[in-house]
Parts: sequence; C-alpha cells; structure tokens
Amino acid sequence: MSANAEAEAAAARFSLPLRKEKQSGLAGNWTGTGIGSSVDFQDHRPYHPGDDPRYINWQAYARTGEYTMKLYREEVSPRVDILVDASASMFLEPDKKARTVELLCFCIASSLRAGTQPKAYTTKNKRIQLMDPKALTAGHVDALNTDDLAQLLPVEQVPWRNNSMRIIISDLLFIESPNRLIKHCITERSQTVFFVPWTQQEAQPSWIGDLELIDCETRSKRMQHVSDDLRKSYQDNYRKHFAAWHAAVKSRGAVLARIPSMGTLTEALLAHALPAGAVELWS
Amino acid sequence: MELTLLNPWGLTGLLSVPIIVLLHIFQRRTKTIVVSTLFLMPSLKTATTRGRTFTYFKSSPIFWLQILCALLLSFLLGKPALLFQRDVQDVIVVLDASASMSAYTDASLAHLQDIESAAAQTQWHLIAASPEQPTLYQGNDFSELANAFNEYSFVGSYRSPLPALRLARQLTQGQGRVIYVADHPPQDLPSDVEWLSIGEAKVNTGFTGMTIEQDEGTLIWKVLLRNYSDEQQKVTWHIRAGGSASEAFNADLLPGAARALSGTFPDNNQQITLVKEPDSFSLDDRLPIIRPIRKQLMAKVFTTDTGSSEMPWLNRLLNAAQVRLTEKYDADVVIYFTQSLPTHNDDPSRIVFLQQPDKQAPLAAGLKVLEQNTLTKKLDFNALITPKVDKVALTDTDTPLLWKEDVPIIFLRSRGYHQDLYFAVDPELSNLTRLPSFVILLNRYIESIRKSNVGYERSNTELGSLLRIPVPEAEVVLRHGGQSKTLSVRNGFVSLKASNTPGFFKVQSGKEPLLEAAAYFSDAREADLRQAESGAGLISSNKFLTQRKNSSEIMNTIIVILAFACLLGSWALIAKGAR
Repeated sequence: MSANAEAEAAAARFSLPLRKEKQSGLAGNWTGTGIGSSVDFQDHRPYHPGDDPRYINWQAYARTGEYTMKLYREEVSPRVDILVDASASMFLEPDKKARTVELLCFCIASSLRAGTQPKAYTTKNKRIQLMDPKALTAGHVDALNTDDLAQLLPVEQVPWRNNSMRIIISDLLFIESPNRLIKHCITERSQTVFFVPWTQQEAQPSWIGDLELIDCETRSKRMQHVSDDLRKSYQDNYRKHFAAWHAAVKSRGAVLARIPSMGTLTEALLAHALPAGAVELWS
Repeated sequence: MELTLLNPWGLTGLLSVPIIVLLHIFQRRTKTIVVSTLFLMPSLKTATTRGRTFTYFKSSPIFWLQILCALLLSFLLGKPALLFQRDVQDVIVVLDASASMSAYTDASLAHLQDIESAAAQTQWHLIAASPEQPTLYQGNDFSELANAFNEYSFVGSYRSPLPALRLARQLTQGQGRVIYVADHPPQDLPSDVEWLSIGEAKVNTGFTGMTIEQDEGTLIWKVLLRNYSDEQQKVTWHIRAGGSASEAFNADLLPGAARALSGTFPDNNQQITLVKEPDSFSLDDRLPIIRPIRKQLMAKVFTTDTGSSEMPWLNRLLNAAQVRLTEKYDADVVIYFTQSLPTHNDDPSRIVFLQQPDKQAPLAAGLKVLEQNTLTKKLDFNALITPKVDKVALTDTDTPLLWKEDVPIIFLRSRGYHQDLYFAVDPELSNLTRLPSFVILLNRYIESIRKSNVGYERSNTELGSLLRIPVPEAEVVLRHGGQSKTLSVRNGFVSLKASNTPGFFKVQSGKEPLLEAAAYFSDAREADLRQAESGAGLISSNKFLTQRKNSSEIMNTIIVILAFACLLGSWALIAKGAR
C-alpha cells in the first residue's frame, strides 16, 4: 500500500488531537478561544457604540432598559504546522523512510479532513524549507528528500504560527539534549506532538563481532568489536535517551509517541500513538 | 592400565591446529555497517582495520571450541586404546644351541627381562633349538632362566631353529611370545617370532680337523691350528701326556690361516692333549686325542669239501676290516662256503656263500635289482656276472638285498637276534669278489656286527655326539672328569652323549672297560666368531598389552560425542554472530 493510501486509511480512523485544546486561528469549524460568531453563547457585556446591533440582548434590555451585548464563541480554523526531520537517519532504512512519509501524509490528511490549514516544513541544506502547499493539498508527498547536511534539526528557523498545533516528525537521534528543540517548539499556547519513528535494528541491533560502524549523518567511522555486553550497554543508552526525551517533552505538556516502522501505520498509531494521546479516534 | 595409540600416524591431524590459529589470526575484513545511533554505542576496544590482515591473537569461545575439536579428532584418528596388563603371559625363549654361543654365555639378557612389564606374571620357557632336548627352564623367575642359559653346554653344530620355533608357537597357541636367541641376527624367521642377538665379533684361534693315520705301522695324529680372525695371531701351545707337558711351541698365523700339526703317541701313553692359551672361545683350546683301537672281531671260516679253502680275497678283506681269523668256536662271525643252507642255530652272525655244484655252469645274463637298505646304500652290482642261480626260497623274515631276475642272490636272513648275510652267488664262478660294492657291502655288514658286539674299543669322537654301545647285562658306568654316572641298559645297549667339554671319558661294566674315548671340538664353522653381532628384533611390550574392548569403545564414543559437541557449539556461536 502506498504511503498516501496508508495515511488515508489511518486518517479515516484517527485524527490529530485537535479537540483537546482550545484552538485559535482563522474562521473555521473549530471552537476558538476568542469571541466569534458561532452559535455557542459565551458571555454578556455592555453595549459600545459601533457593536453589531444583531448581538444586542433585547431580553436583557427589556428587563433592565440597558443595552447589553451577547458574546458567542469564536469558530476558527486551527493551524497545523508540521516539521519533518529530513536528516539521513530518518531515511537510513526503507521501513523508517516509508513510515516517515506515512506519518507526514497522515498528518496532512488528518489536518485536511479536520478543515485545518496545514503547513509542512522540512530541511534542505540545513535550512528550513516550506514544502509545496499544492503538493501537500494533493497529497503528493513522495518527493521528500534526505538532507544530507542536516545533523541537528534547525527548529529555531521554523516560522511557527501562533497557537498552531505543532507536529514534529523526527527520530530524535540527536546527540544534544532535548532542551534546545523543546525551547523552540513547545509554547504554552501551542500544542506540540512528536511523532518519533523507530526501527527494530536501531532499538535492538544484531551487531556482533568486529565491525566498522559509520554514522549515517556525520560519516564518522569507528572500528568496534561488539560483544554481547557492549550491545546491552548500547540498548541501555538507547533506552535512557528516549526516556530523557519523554520526560523533557512531558514536563512541557507536549506529547511524544514513538511509532515503530514495523507493521501498518494504522496498527502503529493504534498501539503507540493513541495511548500516548498523539492521535484521537476520528469521529 | 595404559593409554596408547594404535595408529600414531593419526596424530598428523594435529597439523590442523596451526591452520586454525592462522585462520583466526588472519581475520576477514570487518563488516561495515552504517548506523544512525553511533553516538549511543559505548566506545571500547576497537576492531581490526581493513582486510585480511595480521592481528594479535584474540581468544574467543569459537576458537577454543575449534581447537578442542581438532585435538579430539586427531586423538581419535590415532586410535587410542586402553591397555591392561595381561594376567599371565607365556614367553618361550628358543636358544641357538650351536657351539659358537658358548663364547657368549656371560652376555646380558636384560632385553628379555623388559618383556615382563607386559603382564602381571610371566611364565618363562627356555628351550634349545634342538627339539629333542628337554626344556631347559620353565618358571616365572627370570634370574633362574638366566642361570639356565649361563649353564647350558653349547657344543653342537648349527641347526635350523625352525622346527623348535614351530613347536614353540604351537605351545603358545598364538597367545604368547616366541623369541629366538642367537649370536648373530637370524635370517628368514617366521614373522611372528622375535629375536635377540647377543653376539659380538671376537678373535679366536684353536685346534680343529683331527685325523689319525697309519704310516708304516705307526699311528700319526694330525691336527690343524687355525686363526679365525682378520689379524695375524701368535699362538703358543704344548702337548700334555701322562700328567706332564711338553715344551711350548709358537706359531704365527696369518689372518684366516691354518697350520698342520702332527705327531705320534708316546710309547707309554695312549692319550695326549694339545693345549693352547685360552681365549674367548674355549672349546677349541684343548684337543684330546686317544690312540684308537677298534673293537676286535674274530671270524671262523667253514668250507665244504668241494670248495677251496684258499681264498686270498677273503683274507685281504678280513684284514682290512681288522677281523682276525680264528679256529675257536667263540668267533664273532662264521663264514660259510657251502652248497646247502646251514641249519643249526648256535652260530653267532653268519656270512654264507652258497656254492654251486656245477662248476661248469655257463654265465647267464639277467636284470639285477638292488633293494634299498642301509647295507646297499649307493652300491652298484650291475657289473656282477654270475651263472644261472638256483632260486632260494625266502621266508617272511628274510630281507632281499639284490635280485637277478626273480632270484634273490644276496639277502639277509633273521635268526633270533642275528641277521645273517647270504650270497646265493658262488664267488668262484662269478666276479663277485672283484666288485667294489661287494667289498663295501661286506665291510658294512662286518661293522654292523662290530657295533652290536660287546667289546673294548678306543675312539675319538666329537663333543656331544650320540653313542650307542652294546653292553653286557650288568651295571654300566660312565666315568668322566673324575665323576661317575650309572647308565641305563636297554635291549643290551646304553645310549649316551659324548662329553660336552673336551676331554677323556670311559664306559665300563664293572671293572671291564667297554669304551675309552676322547671328545674333541671339530666344527670350524662354529669357531669362527667374526660374523657374530648383537641386535634385537623385539616387539615393544606395549603391543602385547591386552585391549579391553569395552573400555576402548566407551572412550572412543565419548571422544566422538565431545568432538561433535565442540563442532555444534562452534557453529551455533558463528550463526549467532552472523545474525
């Protein structure tokens, strides 16, 4: 099944967690945080010259003889900003690459289904680059390319929209601590979700013996004799790395879901993203 | 218990061990993997660099399993066997009984004693290469066997040991060991017979080749003095007679040379001894000689009236045979010239010449057939010319010697203890008396009478030779070297062996001497010790340890299982690493 098909299938069951938070944005079908022209009554206030007389509470005037304005919730169209890590590690293994593309497609598809305005960014030559909106709208995202130069995600370059839902699709295999990325991605008024694709080979590698290990991004080489003990140490380090990310992300109120590259996207989202709150059931 | 390898060449499998070591040292190119999580890998010992290059040896379970497997398989190829001592082993030692071995009676038999390690107990048998000799030692004390070897008298000529070895192999029934001991490495022994040679080349000089001749009525003894070495030797010798010794004589002998010595017997001494300085081979350092006297025989001649009593040919023949004519009735042999067969039985042995009444009978041809008999061995009577002979009826106990057509013309007729010699040929009417075969036949017959008659004689005989002496029915004693020994009489004879050491001995019945003899060494082949050498063809005692079948099978099964376990473990570890 192609990435788009997988994404559509997953988008039919799941959606991005847009209902969880009060959204803001242009006029749309989502209940915004401000006052708007939806039918949901929110509050009263005194009339001020210039207010729209359609919202005068005539019943309150009849009772009080004073002009009072009715306030309704703002109906907005949420903004979704998606950042796709295009570093070499994301595309090292075919499964992981496919899952990355599927996640992007899912996010796009889910955003569009929900009537949101998605914007997707990727990196090229270490710089953030907006992806083609028409291609995103048409669902053509197969041309996602590896940024061979990217090693650290340049999140500070991303023009996040105010109060947007921020989706970050990255394997988080950075040597740096989470602080920089969290600082530039997570705010109080934004909802941030991390989709972290991973493979079995990087989680539980089968390396043994004398190996020449080459880092896919830095191209640094290391001659390493891998024994069982060393492999166990690596797995401990792997576990600790993502535990630190979990803790850092959670402490800032964001959501992090590690999505395995094995199996279908729908299964992966059901098993890992839904429990983590990175997706909701579509209704 | 002892562990041994029945196939040591199987250990060439150990050559695989250095190959395995080299394979592990010259390792394959390391596997290259592009990873995304290198920063999470702890940096410890690094692997080798590129290519199949030399690296310091790195111990690993795979390596040691492969080494262990190679060791086990090599060990298995060597056919390990657990050997246990037999409870009892039979070892039969067959001695070369020839005279040359007497020069090595003090040689060490230590090589033989090593055999005892193959069994808890060793049953030793020592026999001589002459099967007719009794067992020299039987027991489990090797020192007693060595004593028996040292004390054995080696006097005879060399005899093939094969009959004795066959007997020994039959006695062991294929379970024990047969070892032939000689003074030189033997040739053409059976493959399952081991050997031990205890000889070494030695210089020897000695007396040999004694003869006695008559020269104008005087007895002359002749002896050879021989040098059996490759170097010139100076020999000093003298003659002992009657307790006194002559002056010393010197002889310089070139390598391999012999010098003839001769002399007469002193007038008052019938015995002399030639003596030289002793050397390593002592049997030929003394040569006793006794003036020989043949046993006296007397003959009486009876002739018929029709025959002539003058027979010069008979006188010559009897004279040459040292038979004295007598008129007395106690002759040892009676010679008849008669036309009819004698009928009385009180004669001693008879020689009968049947005369023909018709002295004008013509000569007649006829095929002559000679019977096989000790008296007629290698004789030829084809030249015999006789007239037609009247056929004599043979009895069941007669032994024909010569036929002319179907007529027995020479035959033996048994008469009690005697066998009479009959000639159905008239000596006057034939050429019988001119035939050499007739003379030889008659001499042989006379000698057979001499041998069976009790009487005194003196003779020279070889060491250890078998003698059969007719004796009267009385106690017979052998005297030799100041010692006496009673001999057993059987059917009127005593059988004895001449002494094993050079010297004089006597056989007498009561006070009557029957035989006085000198025993001397005469086999020159045995006196030559230049070809003697030491050596051994003994099989390692380990080969004779018993293999207990069950123990070896269990051990081999365990080795196979361990080897397979090592292989499987090594493969499993390799496969695990590959994954």
